[in-house]
Amino acid sequence: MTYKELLYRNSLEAIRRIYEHSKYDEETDLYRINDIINSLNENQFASKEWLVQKLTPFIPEELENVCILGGWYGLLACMISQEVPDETRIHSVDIDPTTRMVGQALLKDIAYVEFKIESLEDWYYGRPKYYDLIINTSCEHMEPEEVRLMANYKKEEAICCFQGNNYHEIQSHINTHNSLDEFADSLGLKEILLKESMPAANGEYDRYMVIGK
Amino acid sequence: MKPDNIIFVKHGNKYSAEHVNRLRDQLMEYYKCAYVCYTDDPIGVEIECIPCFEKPTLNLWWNKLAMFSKDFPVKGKCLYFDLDMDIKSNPSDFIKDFEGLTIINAYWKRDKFMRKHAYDVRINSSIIAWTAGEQDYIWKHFLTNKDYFMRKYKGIDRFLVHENIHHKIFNDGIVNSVANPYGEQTPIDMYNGINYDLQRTFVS
Repeated sequence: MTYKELLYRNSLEAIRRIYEHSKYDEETDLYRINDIINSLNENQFASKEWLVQKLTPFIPEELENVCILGGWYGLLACMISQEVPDETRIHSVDIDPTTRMVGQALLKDIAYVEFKIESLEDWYYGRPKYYDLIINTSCEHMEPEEVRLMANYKKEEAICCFQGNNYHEIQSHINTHNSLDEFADSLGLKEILLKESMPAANGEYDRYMVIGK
Repeated sequence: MKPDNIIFVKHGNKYSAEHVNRLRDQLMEYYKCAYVCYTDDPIGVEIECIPCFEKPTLNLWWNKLAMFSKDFPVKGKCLYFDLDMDIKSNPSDFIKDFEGLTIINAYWKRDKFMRKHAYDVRINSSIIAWTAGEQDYIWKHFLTNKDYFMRKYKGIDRFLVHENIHHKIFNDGIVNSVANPYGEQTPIDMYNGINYDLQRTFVS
């Protein structure tokens, strides 16, 4: 089975378990089913596959520690794990405490990822020099000054890969941009290695990506 | 019992300063108290404005939850109104309790079928009564996982009910939903976000 097939198999099993649990527990959060499905939708795969494809040439040879900020249920961590040495530590950080349990279920038999449950700011500022690669695909959910600080408060040689978008209509998006250049400028990186945009599969917005140091 | 503060929330461009000023004019007839507007854009607003918290940045109605923060700079009994309300007569007989959290009964949803996982609700937060600082736990709870809550719930009504926030409801008859007429005279017409530019009753 490919990693993608395993991921779908595991996600169906996770959804089945939530349904089973809900039969005798009124408090079971059935919205998780929807959230898991959304985390693996066409847009999510497209934007993450794009990221991995563009990022791979810039991944440092001496890669030890990777931080994925706003990692949700670990789709990107899973994909990154396919591209880096087995001994690389991958931390997927999210404030939502359920992401660990769901993420571990989704990544079973595919990848070993450490799910860290904490606010992105608290986690990252506690260990800014630890990571060789910092990825943030949730910039639209974060305060602009926090994103900028994270992009710059790191080991000098560390690579960062940040994604944002112009999807202004979503209520939880508090940090959208009108163009790729505007997004790149907002990060204030010393060196930009790549910046590209990609229209979302549903045609509703453009996703931006910047890789730099 | 009368409120010490009447609070409006204006964020984004759905409602204008005119909506704030008009509603203030209507309510002034019945409530002599402090009027404040929590907003990202104070231009044209004729009452005291409280700027939206720098962090976290929130969009639209999610800003209403900031009113419950202990850092929200008001004291005493608070009464909140959505900006698409039209005050027709004195609502004071319905608004007397500022202990706990009191919101509207959405009478128009009384017979609506809703499975639990629809996360629909039979309450409406277009009018809220509470005492400043005493509902801080609502704000704190929201901040524990705000992005998930904003994905899961379409608005704060659903958040309040399905996160088991204890609340009471005003007696029926306080509002008439224009889209779903109450059938009797009520002191307040509410537009539920629709047709909010309709001609209103202005107090001379």
